[in-house]
Amino acid sequence: MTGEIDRLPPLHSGVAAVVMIGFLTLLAGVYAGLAAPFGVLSMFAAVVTMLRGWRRAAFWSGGLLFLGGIVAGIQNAPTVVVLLVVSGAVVAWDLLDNSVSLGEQLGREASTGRAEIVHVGGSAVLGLGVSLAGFALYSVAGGGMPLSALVFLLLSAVALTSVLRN
Amino acid sequence: MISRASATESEGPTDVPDQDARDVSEETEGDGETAELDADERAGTDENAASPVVESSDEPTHRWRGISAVAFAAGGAGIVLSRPSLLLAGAIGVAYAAYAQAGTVPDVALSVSRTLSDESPEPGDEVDVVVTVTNEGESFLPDLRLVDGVPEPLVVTDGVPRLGTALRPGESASFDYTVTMGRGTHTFDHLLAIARGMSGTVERRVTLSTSDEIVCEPEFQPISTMALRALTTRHAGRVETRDGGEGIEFHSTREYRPGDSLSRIDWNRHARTGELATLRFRQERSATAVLVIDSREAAYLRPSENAPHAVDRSVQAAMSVFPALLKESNRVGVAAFGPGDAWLPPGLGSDQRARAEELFTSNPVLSAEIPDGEFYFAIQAKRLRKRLPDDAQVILFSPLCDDGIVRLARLLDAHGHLVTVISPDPTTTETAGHRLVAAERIARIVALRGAGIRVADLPEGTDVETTLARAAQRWSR
Repeated sequence: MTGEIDRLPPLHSGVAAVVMIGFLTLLAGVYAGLAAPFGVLSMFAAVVTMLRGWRRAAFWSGGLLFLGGIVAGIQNAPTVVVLLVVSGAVVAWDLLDNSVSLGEQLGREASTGRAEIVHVGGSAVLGLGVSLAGFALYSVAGGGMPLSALVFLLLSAVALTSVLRN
Repeated sequence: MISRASATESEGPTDVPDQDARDVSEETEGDGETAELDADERAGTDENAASPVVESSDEPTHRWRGISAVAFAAGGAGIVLSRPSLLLAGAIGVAYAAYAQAGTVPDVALSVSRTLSDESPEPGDEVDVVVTVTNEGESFLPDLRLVDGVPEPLVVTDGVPRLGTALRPGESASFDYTVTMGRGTHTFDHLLAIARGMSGTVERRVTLSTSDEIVCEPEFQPISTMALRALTTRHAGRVETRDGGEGIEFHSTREYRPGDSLSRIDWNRHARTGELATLRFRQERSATAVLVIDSREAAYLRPSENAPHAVDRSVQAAMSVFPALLKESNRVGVAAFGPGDAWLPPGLGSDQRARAEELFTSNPVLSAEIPDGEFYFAIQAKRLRKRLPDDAQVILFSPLCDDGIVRLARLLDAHGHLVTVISPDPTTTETAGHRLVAAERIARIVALRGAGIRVADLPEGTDVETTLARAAQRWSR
């Protein structure tokens, strides 16, 4: 052991991401069989990220789970499942990407548990919160609401973020 | 995007290990602006004891780039396929895009304190370092990455000098590691903190200045004797010469001359033959020796990252030889052959010993870090040759891993300064390249011996005393 940094991501985030993806894959698989393969591939990419520290694999892990969520949506899976899978995809990517950057800057040997927990806590609470709030809104008011109203709502949200960006 | 910096593989014999903090700082490419903050100004405005900031820069990480695509892809699919669930999923993308946009950089005000288990250790000792970082600012730091600036010559042997954590205002975090000491004064002069907000959109790199110092002064560890060559002064000493006279070891006999001491008359011969003869013994004289330490960049070689480099081992060997020679009433001087100037003219006595101790421990030319500065072989060789007294013999400490130093040894030898080379071996046999370097070094030793220069090879892990005693036996044959 020397001053050399191993540049590999810490394992906690990776394990958490793999477990989460596994759970969401099962969940999606129950309602939409075609979504499951995407989930399995995403899990594989997550394992690769964890072991090799490739940022691109983290992207593929999140991307594939996201596609799984879309497929589940197309196959008419329950709304809450689709929302969970899609937000899970973003959280998984965030988790893996953050662990890769931690690995690059601090290495696997360094103790990074607290930083990882706080980071994943932030993005998971947001994902879960938005999913549940969206679902609640949808189930309370969505019954008779025309789809176009939702579209406008979304477009206005996108407009708002691009204003924030500037 | 953060580009992935490849960890530099070490090929021994190599020079210094790459430093953690420096590595990390080269890792990010970004279009961030760097703001140089005046340390005093910063310290003055802080009412808390936050460590002064040397350098601070903000860099966007671009990690959420493309998150809006999630919104558009999901939302678009939802509209086209009339699936409300997908449209709602688009809202997730929007929410994360907003999350990324809202991410700000927290204000970083940290105080750093280090606890060293021993502030004046011996070389080779292990010292535990405990670093405690406290958030002195008002804001919560959700993602704080700390990289301690371990001084270059120190080797971390246990633990990791890095930590990833989150700190509420007023909260502290600490991490500890163990370093193996090398000779010299080492300053822990900075700590790199990388802070990210919740979403990690922007990261702030702050270099905090610290001033913990650790002084590692080696002491003289004299060996019992060091075989010098027969180039002596007029003064009495312990180096045996080829001339007959007063002394201990038998040299020859000659015809008695009136005035010869009675104790030196060969009475056995007188009893046998009735002739008077006088015994002559080998005269013992003192010598002038100059210890020349090869401190050129080419001498900073080590077999592995954990091992001390050859200059360190040379200095250590010189510190063993110096008092041994001084004790036998030789005039001993010290010179460094490398960039910079270190010269102690040959002298005697305890003053000389004190001066040498100071030179060995605190002269920057013999420091544990590779010295900066220009080095011109011809000029330095000429300067050294001019300084050497005519009757001085040279004990050269060098790993002998390049031809330049061989040239110096032969040059000094040609100018009548008998040369003895003590060579700490920094080579290994791991790869073919390593073995080639080792073989080249052996060839240099053989060539030097062929030219009548004494060479004592000092392999890693061997004792200076044993090696020199063995070499002295070989030389006396």
